[in-house]
Amino acid sequence: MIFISGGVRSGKSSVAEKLAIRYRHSNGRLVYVACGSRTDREMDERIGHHQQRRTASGCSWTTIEKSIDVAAIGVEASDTLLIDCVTTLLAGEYFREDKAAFDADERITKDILTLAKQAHAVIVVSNELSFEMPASELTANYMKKLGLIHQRLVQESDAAVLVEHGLPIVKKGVISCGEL
Amino acid sequence: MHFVTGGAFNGKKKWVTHFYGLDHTPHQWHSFYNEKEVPDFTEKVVVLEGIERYVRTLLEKAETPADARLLFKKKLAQWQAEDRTIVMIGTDMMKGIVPMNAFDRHFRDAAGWCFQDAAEAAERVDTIWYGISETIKEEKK
Repeated sequence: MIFISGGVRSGKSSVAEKLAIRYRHSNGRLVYVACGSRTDREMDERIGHHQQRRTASGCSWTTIEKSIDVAAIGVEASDTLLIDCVTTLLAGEYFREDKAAFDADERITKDILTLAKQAHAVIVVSNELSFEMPASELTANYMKKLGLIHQRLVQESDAAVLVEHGLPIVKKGVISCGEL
Repeated sequence: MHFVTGGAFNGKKKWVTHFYGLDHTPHQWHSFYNEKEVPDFTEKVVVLEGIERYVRTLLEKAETPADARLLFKKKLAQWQAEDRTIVMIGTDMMKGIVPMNAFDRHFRDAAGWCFQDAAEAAERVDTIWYGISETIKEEKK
């Protein structure tokens, strides 16, 4: 499992896609797990932008949309998953009505680690936590949960990468960055 | 002194506990989140958690961020003179958008300056990213 984090528009998805292609199983699928829910036109544009890039990569991707219970997507042992991204998953798990918000972080960590065991490789993308004073208690709680998920995923990952301005910075493990 | 910083919820406390083996080492853990004032030091290893919160307390007493910084520098000099291992943990909140509220802006300015002073006064400085440390300063012994 590789954990990738970065700011908005840092180029983290592009790095994640290249790594997924690099580490894919020769006979396996490339699965893009889209965790955001389509809420408005801006979201559609963001999705469109990512879809175009995946098409341009020349590889065929299977897209699965899932914003809660991500472990339930059904994977094969040869699949390489790109989970995009933890923050949207957290929004899904945090605000769902049938389960409590307080252990949303544990559900997500568990789900991702389950997928990491089942699949050939998992690349999981998230957003950097902001370095600012939380505006409200809800924001603080959301940030705390995201921080805890990140700590666990980094701990369990084979490699962890921070992307800044399109440049991958390898924080854990070894990744050759030549073609990223 | 040792200054440990990084964003909120990045595992700074856990890292310090592990790095100094605090589970089996006598130490004094002081959190400025619970108690505003600096305690009397009693152990060889003293951890001061929430340095930014202490800066906030100083700012409430002082007129300006610059005055708060002077008060903080005085404290740093006292801590440096102690024959103990003093570990300061501070949350970096200096990379966000400018706060609307004037006090919050001053607080952030004061914290930024005081963190520079803390890093200057420390022999070692580490930043923590989700549990992974990066040593950004280490003086030769």
